[in-house]
Amino acid sequence: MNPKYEALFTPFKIGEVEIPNRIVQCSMGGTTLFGWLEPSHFDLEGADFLLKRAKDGVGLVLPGMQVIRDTMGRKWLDSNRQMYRVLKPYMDEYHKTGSKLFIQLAGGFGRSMAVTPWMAALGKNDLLNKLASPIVDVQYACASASATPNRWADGLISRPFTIEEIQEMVWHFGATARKLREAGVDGVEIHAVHEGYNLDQFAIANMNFRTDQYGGSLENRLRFATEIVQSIHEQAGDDFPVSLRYSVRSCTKGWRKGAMPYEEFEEFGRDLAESEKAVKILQDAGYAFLNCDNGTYDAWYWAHPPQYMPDNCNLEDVEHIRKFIDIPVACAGRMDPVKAAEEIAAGRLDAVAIARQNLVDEHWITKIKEGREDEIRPCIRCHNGCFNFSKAAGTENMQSLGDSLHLARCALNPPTMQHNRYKIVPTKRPKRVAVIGGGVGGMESALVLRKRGHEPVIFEKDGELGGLFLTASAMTFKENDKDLIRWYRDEIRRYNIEVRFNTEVKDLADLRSSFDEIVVCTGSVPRNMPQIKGFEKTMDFTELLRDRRIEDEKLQTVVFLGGGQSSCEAAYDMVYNFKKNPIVVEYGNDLVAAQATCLANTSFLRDALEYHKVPVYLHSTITEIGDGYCIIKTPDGEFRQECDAVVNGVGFVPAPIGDKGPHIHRVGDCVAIGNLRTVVWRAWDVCMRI
Amino acid sequence: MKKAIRKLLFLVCFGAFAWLLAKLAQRDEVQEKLFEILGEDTYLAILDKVRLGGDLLMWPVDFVRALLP
Repeated sequence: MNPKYEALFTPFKIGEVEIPNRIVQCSMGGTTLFGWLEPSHFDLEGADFLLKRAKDGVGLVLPGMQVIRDTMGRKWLDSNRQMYRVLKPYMDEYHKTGSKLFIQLAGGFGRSMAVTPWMAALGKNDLLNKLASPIVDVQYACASASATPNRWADGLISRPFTIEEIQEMVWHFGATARKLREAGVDGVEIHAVHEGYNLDQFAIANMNFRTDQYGGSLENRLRFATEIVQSIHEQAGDDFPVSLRYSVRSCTKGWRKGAMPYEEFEEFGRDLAESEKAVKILQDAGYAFLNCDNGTYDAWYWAHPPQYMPDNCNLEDVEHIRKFIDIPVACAGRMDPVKAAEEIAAGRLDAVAIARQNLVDEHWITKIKEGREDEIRPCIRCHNGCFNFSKAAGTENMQSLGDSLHLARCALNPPTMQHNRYKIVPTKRPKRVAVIGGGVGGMESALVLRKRGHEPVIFEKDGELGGLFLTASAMTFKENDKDLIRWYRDEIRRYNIEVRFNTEVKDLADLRSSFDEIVVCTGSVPRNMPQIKGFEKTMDFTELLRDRRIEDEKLQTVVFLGGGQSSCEAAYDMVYNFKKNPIVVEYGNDLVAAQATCLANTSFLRDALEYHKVPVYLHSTITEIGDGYCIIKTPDGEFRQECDAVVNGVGFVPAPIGDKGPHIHRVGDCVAIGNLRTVVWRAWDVCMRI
Repeated sequence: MKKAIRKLLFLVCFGAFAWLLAKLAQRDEVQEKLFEILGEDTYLAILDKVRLGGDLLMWPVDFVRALLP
């Protein structure tokens, strides 16, 4: 092992419990032991995943958050005795790994509840909500400290919890912790004075207008959280360690408005000064560990940082807060293991909390221990498979039903949390397979085929592997995407897969005699809109980003036709890194209004473009493109915009080659335009059955 | 009475047949064959629906399980 990681592999203590190393797997919604949205039960898929993580060497595993009262079914978590009976032998097996497991118990979502359209309809109607309440009580699920607006659904206001409801919940935290301890669980983590969840809404003055003992002073606002730890110690024992998920700063400017990492702003939530006092109160109440980051649902990109956020984005604040307490502190949020090891060695941090990397590469810790860190598949923080709660102006949570039922799957690693659906089964009939196209779809297909025992050959028309993803990854902040391409190229080499570069296949018939199967992965081409006068003058993303026209001094004012993710990312790169003047013209009512893209990612782009004062024209289009200008049509009329270029951001269309037929398969954007998840999962779906 | 027994027998046989069919369909060789016969588009569309159906079916099962003592 490289000595720079050594500090990560030293033990530390939470209360009286020794954690074998400094790597904490953060809780991720969906990786639950007792089910996610379903009524509580022992979840075999979650249990399998968590045990694998312990076997890989995670020191402390925190399964996904478990609401103390089921959202669906409304049963208290301590009521299902069968679940705890199954948990006991599981914990015996788990402890053989040496890892420790704390279960994260949640006080609910409050106004952050990601309501879908049907839930919003129930929540806004007292009668409907009453009728549905034996199964789902949306008004209870959204109840908060005070009457505050829901993060997702316009017009849905949380009702305040009654004192009796709070105290009932406090008691059940203690009762659940006692049962968990009896089943062999090592500790619990309370979720959360963090990320704008329910307990955080009690803690933040601008979200808590109560006049009883749970509102007003900081001590009162933290009373819910302090009573919970006291109830746990009363019922489960004083020596049962209780961790707290904690946001040092809210980084929030107002309802649904987050702050950029480099922005000076007036804090709407918890600021650093208040946090210094809060951590002391929480420590004195009995919390033994603080698992920290920043943010709220209104500034979601702090707690779930996409690629646009800097590495270790919460570290400075977390290390600051550690100076005010004696209990150990972990930091989450795009943590670089090398940096974390340095900070731990220097005594500025106690543990590193890492989440999504555990989904994308189940052996990343083993690879570090064995000095094979180059083989670690990087997380690109897309949230497409694991956490794709999405929202645009006027919508509720747009996530599909299938995704709502299955969080914590991985766009790049399909077997994660669905190991019975996606697996490598060696073939009994090895075949020669031609893979046309060396983009992500082609490379993933070739890898799956090779691992199964087939003999794939990749035909790539260019001189390098990567395809259209080379363009997508060309932006300044897309270091993880660039790492992913490097990883794919290394894997193709490691698996000794033949690649024929600079070989464009135009007719599949040429390959039929030498190959048993053909997989077409030829991707997509930019959409053409000839109805727009002068459309042929537009620049495509490859020209702008991969060919580095973005650096051209002559290119100062650029109009993006279309406000999708690619346009907004490129516009952000232009304004932030190159100090140029992008303008975005979008036909719809919001930017990046895609169902499968996480709100953490999209809200960053929307907030960033607003912060940088990028002109955005919604409900608008371009009617004419000329030399040095374009005509923008808005609801208020048309105007001429001087510009150096117009970028074609209206999307892509599939570009398959050849006809469909027996032994000819299609993977990726040449089937339908999607994202990396649709490309990679389809590659598995197809290549698992060849 | 006889009619009820016959109905019950039919249901048991039907259930056993469906269970056997489901088990058979899960075998890798059978999946490969279905993929070949149906073509990838039809096969993957059906698979998608079957998976979602399975997930939705598990919800009431978990619900009942949670109610059990």
